Amino acid sequence: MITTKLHGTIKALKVGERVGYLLNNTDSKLKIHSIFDHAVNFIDRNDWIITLLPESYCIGPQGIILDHKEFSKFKSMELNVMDLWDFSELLSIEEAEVVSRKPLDNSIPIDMFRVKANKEYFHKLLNQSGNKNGMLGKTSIYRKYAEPILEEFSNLFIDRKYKEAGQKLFELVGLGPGLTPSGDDFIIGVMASFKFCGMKKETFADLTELIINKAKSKTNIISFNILRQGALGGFLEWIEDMALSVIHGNYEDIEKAFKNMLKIGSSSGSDISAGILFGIEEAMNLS
Amino acid sequence: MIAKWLIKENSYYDSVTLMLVTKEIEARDDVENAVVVMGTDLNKDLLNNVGLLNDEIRKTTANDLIIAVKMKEDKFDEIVAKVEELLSKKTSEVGEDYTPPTLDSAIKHMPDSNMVVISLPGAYAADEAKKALENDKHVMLFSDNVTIEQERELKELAVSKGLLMMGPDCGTAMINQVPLCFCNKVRKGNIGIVGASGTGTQEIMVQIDRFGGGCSQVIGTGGRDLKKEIGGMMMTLGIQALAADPNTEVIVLVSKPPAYEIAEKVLKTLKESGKKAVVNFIGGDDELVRKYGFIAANSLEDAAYKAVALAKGEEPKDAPLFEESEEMIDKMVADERAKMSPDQKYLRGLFSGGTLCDEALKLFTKEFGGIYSNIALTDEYQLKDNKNSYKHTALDLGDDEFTVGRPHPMIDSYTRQQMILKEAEDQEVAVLLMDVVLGYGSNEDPAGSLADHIKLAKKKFADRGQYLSVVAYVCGTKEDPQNYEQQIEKLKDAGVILMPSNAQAVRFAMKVVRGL
Repeated sequence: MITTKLHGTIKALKVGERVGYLLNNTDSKLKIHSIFDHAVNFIDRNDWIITLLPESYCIGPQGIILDHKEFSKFKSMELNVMDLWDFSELLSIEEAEVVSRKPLDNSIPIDMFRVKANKEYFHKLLNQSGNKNGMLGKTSIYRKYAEPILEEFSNLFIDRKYKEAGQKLFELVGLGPGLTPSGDDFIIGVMASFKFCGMKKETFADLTELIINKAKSKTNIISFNILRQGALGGFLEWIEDMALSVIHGNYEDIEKAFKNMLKIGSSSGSDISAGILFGIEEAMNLS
Repeated sequence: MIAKWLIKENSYYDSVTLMLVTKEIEARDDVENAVVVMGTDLNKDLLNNVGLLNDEIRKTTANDLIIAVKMKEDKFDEIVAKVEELLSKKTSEVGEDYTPPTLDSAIKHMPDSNMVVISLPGAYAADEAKKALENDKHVMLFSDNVTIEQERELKELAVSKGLLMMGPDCGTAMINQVPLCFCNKVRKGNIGIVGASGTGTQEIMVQIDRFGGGCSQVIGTGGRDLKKEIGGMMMTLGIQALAADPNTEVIVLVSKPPAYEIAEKVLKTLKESGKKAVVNFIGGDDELVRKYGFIAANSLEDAAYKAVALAKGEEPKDAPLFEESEEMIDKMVADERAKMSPDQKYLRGLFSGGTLCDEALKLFTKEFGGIYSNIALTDEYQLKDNKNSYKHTALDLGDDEFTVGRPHPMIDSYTRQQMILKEAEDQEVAVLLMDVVLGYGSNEDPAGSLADHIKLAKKKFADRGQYLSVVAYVCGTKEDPQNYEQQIEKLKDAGVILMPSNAQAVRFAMKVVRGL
């Protein structure tokens, strides 16, 4: 294991709202966990991941956006998984814009007719353009596995058996293809829609508790981080936009948000969208 | 059945790479089942369900990548080599390659670029095209479902900046020898094309190559450019661009017949270019073309034939009706008819190329008075139900209603496969007429994807004591990525009669059904 220092400081353009907290609560030395074309993940001792991304990518609570030239410069250095980097030497985040989660404003009433029409439109878009390799593929083994689970969840949820319902949905963690398994993506979507439908915390508190405490052993560490963010109420900007567009927006908002969703991973954007749609349906049924 | 697996411990690959790996393995004929997943407990359960779980896989963790394959024979080394190549390809590109996720970042990343190709759902396409034009980039807009008002606005902006705005719904172009979207690989030469029709342009490119000529530039305009609302803005600008191009000596224009005043405007611009030209307003006003001193073509093939003659400094003549001698063609026709039963009467055209279908309709109508279609020339011959042929019918299977939820038939043969089988149920069918379009953007093996269905259809006829004549044209060159010779062989092997151009294929099919 080596400690590497950059000669010069990279100025971050944007940081997710949790980054400051994480960097203040670590000794600022983080290991490189994984390297992708457009992302480098750093991990701290408590398995919290901070992701460096180039400009124009979507940011979540644990993300840091760099100017794309700075990102390319950083990527062109010799990066190895497990290398230890000193973030205080590497980055300057003082001038970066902090991207906060979208506030949940319960004072805006939800127009059920609008949501119903939006939901149908979103469903149509998803069927037309969604990636069918994960939860959307009617014949995929993953979808077949998930269907009875979702049916049971719906039954339990409508009966207000939130604990059992949460346990049921939790069964999807780790299911399916992709770096972030499709089941994980779907749950992210459900949690986002519950949040922006203004569901009371008690309705999904058991699910979030399970995710925070037990999901780590059921999925990989990257996906776990994203699930944990979601359980704490933090999502990628694009996911928030998607859920909000269906709940409060118009068709144009939905199209715009969905266009961004399709840029997330291979099937992840579609699986998250399927989760958002499912979550909104469940929330509507309950209300 | 043999099960093999590859485990990559603590390895993370982005989802797109994993999907490519999955598709690569699943595409193999010898693979029955393939699973590419992270080793979560749930995924291991699923592997167990499909008989792919073993002790080694059982020991994996959620942070390990599992690639498990069930195959007919042990070719796992081959698969692993390909998988490793795909996985390492991404890794080796780290830090060197940058795939911008948005137009803004692409422009920022490549500020010196001068063209943007846009292929997005129509609802988003116009905004992006406008953004590209505002950034002084030429645009090729592959997307359809852009309104005509948006098209006009985009083209006005483009014209004001002297930029090309090819499209919307522009499927074919070749700029500085770079093929864009659906495009064949043709010889470099001195003929420039401005086309308002995708497969029409491809057919002319291919035929120019066949006759020994070559192309300098191919500019697409989108199918609505010559409508009154647009006024031929891009065809005019395209002509001006070719006029200014020193490597272009002959210009070919191809489009459906424009309104008279638009045709005049376009021909006037062509006159001003000072270059030799051939014009094919498919089925349009040849007299007007001649009035301006240009050569009119009677088919796409004829346009290419005459353009090549002009490019070589020769006197242009009409292209021969058939490459083969008349005697040979008559003999082939007689052979086909001899095998048919008396109740077989009709021609059924199943086209993937819209302009190739349109050309067939026009040639057929000239001889027979009319043919039913989903893109009929007159209301009288518009099919009541576009999915059910009636008497002589030619269908454009690339038309919107056939492509809902599916890729274009030049990419995905499914719709045409089903239509071949459907026509095989009709005892009155005598000839199936088809195009097979090669080139960049098209299906990797279009002939192979149709051959089995053609054989099945022929068998159905044979089982009834009948004979189905199948006539096809392969629109491609020997330089196209699909391997032209192999495509021809696959069709011949399925009992298909092949003609060297769309027009000749139509004429041959007409000869077979004439008088039946």
